Formats: sequence, C-alpha cells, structure tokens
Amino acid sequence: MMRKIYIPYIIFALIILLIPVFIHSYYYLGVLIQAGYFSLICMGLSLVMGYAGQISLGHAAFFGLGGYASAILTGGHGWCPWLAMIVAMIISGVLAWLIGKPSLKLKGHYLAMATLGFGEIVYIFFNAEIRLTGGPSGYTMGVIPYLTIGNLTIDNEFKHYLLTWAIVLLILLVNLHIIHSRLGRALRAIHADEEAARAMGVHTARFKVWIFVLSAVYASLAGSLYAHNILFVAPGPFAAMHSILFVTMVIVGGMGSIWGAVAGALLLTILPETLRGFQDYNILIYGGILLFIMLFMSGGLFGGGRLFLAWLSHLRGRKKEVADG
Amino acid sequence: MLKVQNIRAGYGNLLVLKNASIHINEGEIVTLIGPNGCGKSTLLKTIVRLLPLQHGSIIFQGKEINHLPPEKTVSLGIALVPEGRHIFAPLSVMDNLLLGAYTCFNKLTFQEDLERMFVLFPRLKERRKQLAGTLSGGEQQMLAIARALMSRPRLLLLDEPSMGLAPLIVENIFETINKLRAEGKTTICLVEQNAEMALEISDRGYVLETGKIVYQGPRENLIENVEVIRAYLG
Repeated sequence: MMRKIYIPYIIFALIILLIPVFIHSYYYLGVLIQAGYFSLICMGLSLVMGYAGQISLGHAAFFGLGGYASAILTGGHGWCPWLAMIVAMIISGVLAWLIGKPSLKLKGHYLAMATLGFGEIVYIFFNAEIRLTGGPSGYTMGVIPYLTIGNLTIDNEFKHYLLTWAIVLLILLVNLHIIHSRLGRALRAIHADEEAARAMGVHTARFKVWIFVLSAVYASLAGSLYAHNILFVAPGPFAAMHSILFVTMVIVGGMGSIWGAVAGALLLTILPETLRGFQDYNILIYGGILLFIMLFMSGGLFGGGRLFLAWLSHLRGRKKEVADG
Repeated sequence: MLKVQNIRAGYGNLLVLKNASIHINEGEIVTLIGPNGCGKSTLLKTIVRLLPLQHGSIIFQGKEINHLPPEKTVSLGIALVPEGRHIFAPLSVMDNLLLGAYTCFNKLTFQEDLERMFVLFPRLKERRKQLAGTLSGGEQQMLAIARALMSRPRLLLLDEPSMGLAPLIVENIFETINKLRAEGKTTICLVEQNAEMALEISDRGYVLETGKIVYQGPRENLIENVEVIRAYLG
C-alpha cells in the first residue's frame, strides 16, 4: 500500500526539482511558483470538497489573511517572517473554526454561504481599513522582507521556486498520509455515507470542522509565502473571483484526489499563460478546454484518468478473450 | 440491560414515536414488528442517539444515555446495523471492517475480531480486498453485520436484515444471528418485516403501530396471535 503512494510521489518530486535545471526563465518559474501557491490552497480545499462534501467560497480570503498578516506583522512591526507566518496561520485557523463550527453542524451548503459572506467581509476589510492595510492601493506602510533560511535569503525566482515547491511537496506528503490513515478512512466513510459513519461512532461534525480549519491554514500559508515573494499585497488577488477559481481548480483536477488538486492548480495556472499567444481567442480556447474536461472527464483529470485506465484494461481484457476464444 | 421508557422522537417536526417503552434483558433476542412507517427504525436510531430524543429516557446497563452522542453509545457497546445496509461502497471490505472498530481500535483485539468475523462470514474473507459496493446484496448485509460486530457490542440492533434478499440468503443470515446468540456475548434487538421468521428465533417481541407499542409478549403468545395481529394491522 505504502509503495503505491510513494512511487508516484518520488517521481513527481524529481520532476519538480529538475524543472529549474531546464527552465531558466524567471517568467516561467514565476508562473510555476504561482501554481505552487494555488496547489497548496487546492490541496486543502480538495479535502473539504471531496471528503467533507462541502464547498468553500472563501478560500481567497484565507489566502489574503495570510498575505496581509505576514505583511503587517513583518513590514509594520518588524516580526521575524517565520513567526509572522505561524501567527497568520493561527489567525486563519481560528477564524475558520468560528465559521465552520456553526455552519458545518447543519446539513446542506451552509458553509458555502457562510464563506461567501466571510470572503466579502474580508475583502471589504482589506479595502476599507486604510490605516492598517493600506486600502485599495495596497500595503505600503512598511517594507516586507524576503524570507531567510539561516544566512540564505530567498530573493530570486529560482530560490522562491525551490522553497515554494518544497513546501508543496511536504504538504502533499502530509495529505497523502492523512488520507491513508485512520483519520482518512473516517473521512472517506463520511464521504461515502455520513449516517453510517455516525453509526460507527465517527464524530462527523468535528471532522468536517477540522478539515475546514486545516484547509484555511494551508491557504494562509500560501498567502504568507506569496507576500514574501512579491513583497507587496493589495486586495485584488483575494477577491471572491479567486475563491471560485480555486473551486474550479479542484473540480477540474478531480474532487477528493490530492493529486487532482495539484494537477488542477497547475493546469489552470499554466493554461491561461500558454494561451496568451492566441490573443483574442485565448478565453475561447480556455473555456473550450474546461468544457471538454467537464463533459468527457466528469470525475476531473484524476477521476477521468482512472476511468481511462479502466477502459484500457477493459480493452485488453476483451482482446485476450478474443485470443482465448 | 436496556430500558427505553416513554420515548418520543422523530425527524424535525415530524413526530414518529409517540410513546414507546421497551426493555431488553441480557442474552435475549427481542423482535420489533409492525407495518411500514410505524417507527421501528426510528426507535433503533433513537437508541443509538442518531436521532434526538424529545421526551423519555433510555437506560443502558444502569446508565442513562439520553444525552450521549452516537460515538459514546458505540463505545458503551451498542451497535446498529442500519436499514438498507449502508455499507461504505467505495471503500474496501477491509476498510469497512476497520471502520467498524473505529471507536475501539486496538491491533491485537482487531486481529482476533477479524478472525472471528471471517469464521462467521467466510465469504468476506475471500472478498476482503474488494470494494464493498461490488459485493452482492447478501454479502453486503453480512458485511454490515460484521462491521457492527467489530465494535464488540453487547447489544446489537439489527434493522431489517432480510430486506431485499433471496430466501436462501435470509435463512443464512438468521442462522448467523442464532450463532451469535449461542456465543452468548451479544444481546440482539431485531426489527423485521418478515415476522414469522424473526419470531422463530426470538424470545420476546413487541408490536408497534403508529408510534406506539400495541402488543407485547413472549414468542409463543406472539406466534399464536400472529394471525390476529396481522388482521389487526392490516
């Protein structure tokens, strides 16, 4: 069982680490760094959507909370970036708990509504609290420092790429372990049949809340990394539109598949960039590709991939039958 | 062992159980019979606390469990085999059994219990790596019972174990219930549409109608009166 998890993981990690050997362009690396942040967010969101069966429309807000908290604490108050990052994650986690606790007790999509409202509130807060956040023109009250590890300052795209993806790989490993542990089994049981899971003594409401909190913490972590990379935060990237983009990434990748979350984030970050060459037609092609995935791979990239494999083995089986018969 | 007194329960504003009292003694098999929608399943779900209790009390082994959540009642030793089986279809048979032991997981006892289940249900051993959703109806029912037994219950609540199964398989399942009683570790409360068959193996029975107990007594009385009851219940 464990081997089945680790082999694809190691292959993926090697590919990720080898990319900067072949790609030196800071622009391409920048796109991949962005995909790394989105992967972090989507990995958490995928647990919420695929396992707790709930949709969050406020993950851009947690992304923003991470970014702003890091910016304000380091730029404004001179905190150590790593400490600020942890404090940001705690703030996001506590807020997620406060939203999740009442809304996840109820059946139906109350979390979607609560997070949609929360996202708007946070977005308005970023825009309106000018003394704290700098308002619509972004945070300019202090200088956000680069991250440092010992004497190494993470100050170029190459270093940012390695740091971001090292963290993505770490979280990926954590998530793969969660899914294949007793906790993951309980989560899958909730997804399969919530009432039966309760009858087995699985505390379903509590699990859902904690998964939601975990996903908010991941999004906050991505936000902090983002702030220390761009060295500037403004409300723009944390608007509700981005929350919807994250949900789309998870669905395109395949809900409930951790690999799918990463694949969806990579695809939907890289695709618009590669389609730039088509100029006016890029949105058309982008929409067409999304439509194709949704129509013909209804389980998302990874769900679809599995279907494709099943189809292949089915064909092989048929050929064998013909040969035997 | 279990004493349910004057309970009232239902779904939201819909009151299903109006005033029901039953008791179950250690080592017994007790059957609840009655027409569709009379509140049998509601009663079982209320006992494991999947449904809120609006009035009355439930006492299990001398302890009031009115306010306990399901995860506590499971660890106290009450297990439910839900109506319609409700196995975890996308999970393997093994995972289903592991989830059955969710509240009391311990490697040593788990192995022991697993062996015991494979003796009771040899088919599950053959199919332990298969996804539960690919099992036949009878096998799924066996899995649902085995899953409930993995939590080492002292009281097993079986909701319609014969539903939708071929007569031969139903017999098989009733044999298993008998075996469980012979082991002497589990007390059983059975809800059945198949009244004759259920009464055959039970010690006592209750007849429910529209949320109330309308008749109760030892097996012999119920069997004698089964025709009467049927006429009465329509």
